[in-house]
Amino acid sequence: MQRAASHKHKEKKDYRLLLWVLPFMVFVLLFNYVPLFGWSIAFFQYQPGSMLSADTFVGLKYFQQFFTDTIDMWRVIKNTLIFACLNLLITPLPVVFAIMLNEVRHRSYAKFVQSITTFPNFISWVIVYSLAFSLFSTDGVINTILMNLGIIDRATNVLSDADAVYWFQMCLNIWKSLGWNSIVYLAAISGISQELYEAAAVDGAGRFRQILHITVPGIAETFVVLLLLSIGNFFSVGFDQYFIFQNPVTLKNLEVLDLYVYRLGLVNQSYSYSTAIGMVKSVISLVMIFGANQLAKKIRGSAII
Amino acid sequence: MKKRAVTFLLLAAMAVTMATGCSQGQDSSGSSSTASSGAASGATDDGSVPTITIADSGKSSQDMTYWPTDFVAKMEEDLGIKLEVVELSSEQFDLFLASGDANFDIANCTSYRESQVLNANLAVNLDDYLEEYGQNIAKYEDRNNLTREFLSNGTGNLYFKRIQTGPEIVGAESWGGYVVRWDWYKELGCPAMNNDDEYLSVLQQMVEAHPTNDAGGATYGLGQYVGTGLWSWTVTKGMQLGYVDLVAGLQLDLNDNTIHNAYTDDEASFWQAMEFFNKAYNMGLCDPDFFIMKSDDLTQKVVQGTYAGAIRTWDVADYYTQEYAKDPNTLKGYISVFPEEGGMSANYNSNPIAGWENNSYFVFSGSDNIEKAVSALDYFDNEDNMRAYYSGFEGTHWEYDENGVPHLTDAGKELFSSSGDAVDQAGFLNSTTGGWMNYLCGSSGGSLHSDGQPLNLTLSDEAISETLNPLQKDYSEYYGVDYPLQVHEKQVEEGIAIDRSNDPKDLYMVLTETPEEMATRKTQIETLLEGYIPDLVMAASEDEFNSIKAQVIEECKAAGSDELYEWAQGAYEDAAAKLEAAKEKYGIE
Repeated sequence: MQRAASHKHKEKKDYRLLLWVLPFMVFVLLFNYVPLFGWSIAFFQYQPGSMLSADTFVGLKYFQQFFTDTIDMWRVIKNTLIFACLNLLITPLPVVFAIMLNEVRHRSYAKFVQSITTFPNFISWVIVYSLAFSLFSTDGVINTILMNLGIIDRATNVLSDADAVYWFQMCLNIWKSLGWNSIVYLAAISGISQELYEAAAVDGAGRFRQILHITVPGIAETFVVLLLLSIGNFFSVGFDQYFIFQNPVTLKNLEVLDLYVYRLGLVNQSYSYSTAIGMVKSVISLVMIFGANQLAKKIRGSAII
Repeated sequence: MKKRAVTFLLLAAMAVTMATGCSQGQDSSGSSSTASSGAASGATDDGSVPTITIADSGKSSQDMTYWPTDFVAKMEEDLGIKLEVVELSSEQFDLFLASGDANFDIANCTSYRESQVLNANLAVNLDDYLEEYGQNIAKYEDRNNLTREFLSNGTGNLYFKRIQTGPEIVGAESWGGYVVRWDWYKELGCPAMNNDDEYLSVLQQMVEAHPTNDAGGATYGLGQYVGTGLWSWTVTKGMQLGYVDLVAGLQLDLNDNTIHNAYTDDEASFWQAMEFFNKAYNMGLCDPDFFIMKSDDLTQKVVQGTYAGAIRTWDVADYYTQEYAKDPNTLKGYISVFPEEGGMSANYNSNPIAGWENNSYFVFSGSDNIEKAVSALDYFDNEDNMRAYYSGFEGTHWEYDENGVPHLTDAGKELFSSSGDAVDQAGFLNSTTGGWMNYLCGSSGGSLHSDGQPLNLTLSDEAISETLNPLQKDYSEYYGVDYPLQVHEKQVEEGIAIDRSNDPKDLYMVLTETPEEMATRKTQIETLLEGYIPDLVMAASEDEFNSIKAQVIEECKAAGSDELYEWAQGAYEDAAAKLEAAKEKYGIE
């Protein structure tokens, strides 16, 4: 009898706790699920202003168009995949940077470096372009210095070099995001018990061995979670950066999926087509995140989903 | 039971959420069921004066320091309203179309989206208000009839007010032509430039004579900015050749009213421009940053005196402004020079009956101040108000002489030939604060007032001559004309050049919206062309250029340029026939 009463009390408490979640559920419903109704326009020849019921139903026409487009699609997907892979490739850099920063004994210097490297994250890509133009254009600072020093006799321009697009954009990305992305790893490192390091030191482990056997395993979980999340966003490589840095020379290599959707959806007003592309992107992202999750489960024995 | 209660609560929350998200739509009549906020809801600042809000894209993003300007204050007093302006981007316009909710009373429908506005029942039928609130709008019978015919979704009602009907007078000079740095050009003795080769040769001589700019850097013949698709590459050549980009993929040649494929035909402005830029590049005249400069980057180099010429006069206008501030007699600036042999078109004298394309103002059907909003639109169709906007206030900025002819006063001449605080406080056409209102005026500044003179008195020959800057004066003296544009006007009179008097601007309102499939093809082809611009411009020889050109044309055809042209040709011919029939129906000359 007493046990039943206790169970009821617990159930009541659970319901109360559930009510706390309510506002957040409403928020998620409002901003994450309600907009999904908008996906329906991918199946209609949507015209802004008219009721969807008045628009022509076209079924999977736009999906078919997406997969059979031989003019732009494969080029755009190739660019997106290249940038996505490059982004994935640089994922460990913030980890390495955080570990190195953690090893700096001079705390004020470490904080200074952290501030300096975090700052670019807050600079808009428009400003970044202006800075890049000032530095790398033909009359820019770098060309001027190199020419004055006699290192080169003819100005080079990385901003209008189609061959340099991929690595140059990757470098910009690293410069802009390295410090910011390392914050979460620094937080994870600070959560590792100091006693482990002390014990390892007593056992004769040097700094490198401490990093390898304590720090790295200590932040591995965080790394995997963030890696899985980034894989979920694999095809969302961004828009601003590529939009700003695009010019006739780099156009072919810089047009990624998000930029293509913008060009067709907003500029060209092909809302249905761009929605269909967005849907395909979401489905691929879902498949990838679950795939990566399963992989992580197999390799590490644990995953986030 | 409690589980059910929680479930109920969750479902209720979900329902409220969805209802909130979806309730901003329309009622059965299609009108907005939601009272628009702020100004459009009739909120008053002092309890009695309604606020009328005009939404515009781009044109209204301005410094509001001087708001209300003198002109706006006069308008507010005349109409008994308070006027506000809000920005309306393309994305905001989409949101407005989808939701039917707005924070404005009047908006400009751009990008040929009139049918979308009408489908959503978001525009007021102005015919219901003309008698009481729109007598001036009603005076534009031809414009209104064409608007009723083509922009009413077949209802025959007047939903939109079109703007800038009548002759387009540009003032002292035109931006087409070969743009040169005037002081350097004079040093060379103003050699004739009758074709692209001669122009480029002149630029080369100027660069050789002045190898360094004001900041000690290198000078170049031409600078360019990117980020506008094909536009910044083709607009000047199209203007010079007398072309009009009428429909996606189709260009109309105003010289002989023939049409051609804008992407694959040799005479297309794109290919003509590419040949020009290729020659310029191979002569070393293009700035090495030709393909990467944004507009601001170009301006930075312009103010250092980097260029001997320019693709458009307005690209380099800041240099003269800067130099004029240092020396009011300076000749260091840029101006268009037309070939002595003629053959080049310039952008003036178009004469649309139904006004400028891409500009259709309407009153939002959800406005709580429809009558006042109609009155506000009507205000800019009144010839006296337009005279005030274009030429200033009577008695202060202009006055009638003893023969009843209006002239600018000294104060008017000073105001309309300067810039700065006083101009911005006044808020007339030449101000940064009120310049955008040009887009509300029913008639162009070149249209005649009932007193027989242009609404814009600064456009009279006498006023133009009196307000020339030193560079324009020097140019005029050199060519023996009263003002620079007269050089071209004389060529038009002689029949060796054309202006835009046969530009069929009214066709734009008849042309139906480009079907989505064709619009997509157009975007794909233009992106393809844009991607090849560097290869074409930097081609080392004529053979290499021709080889790339052949390849690009093949790719354009594979992307559907022929099908697009076929559609465009049909659309053009259909629109021309419809316009002709409508003109006949309404007795429009």
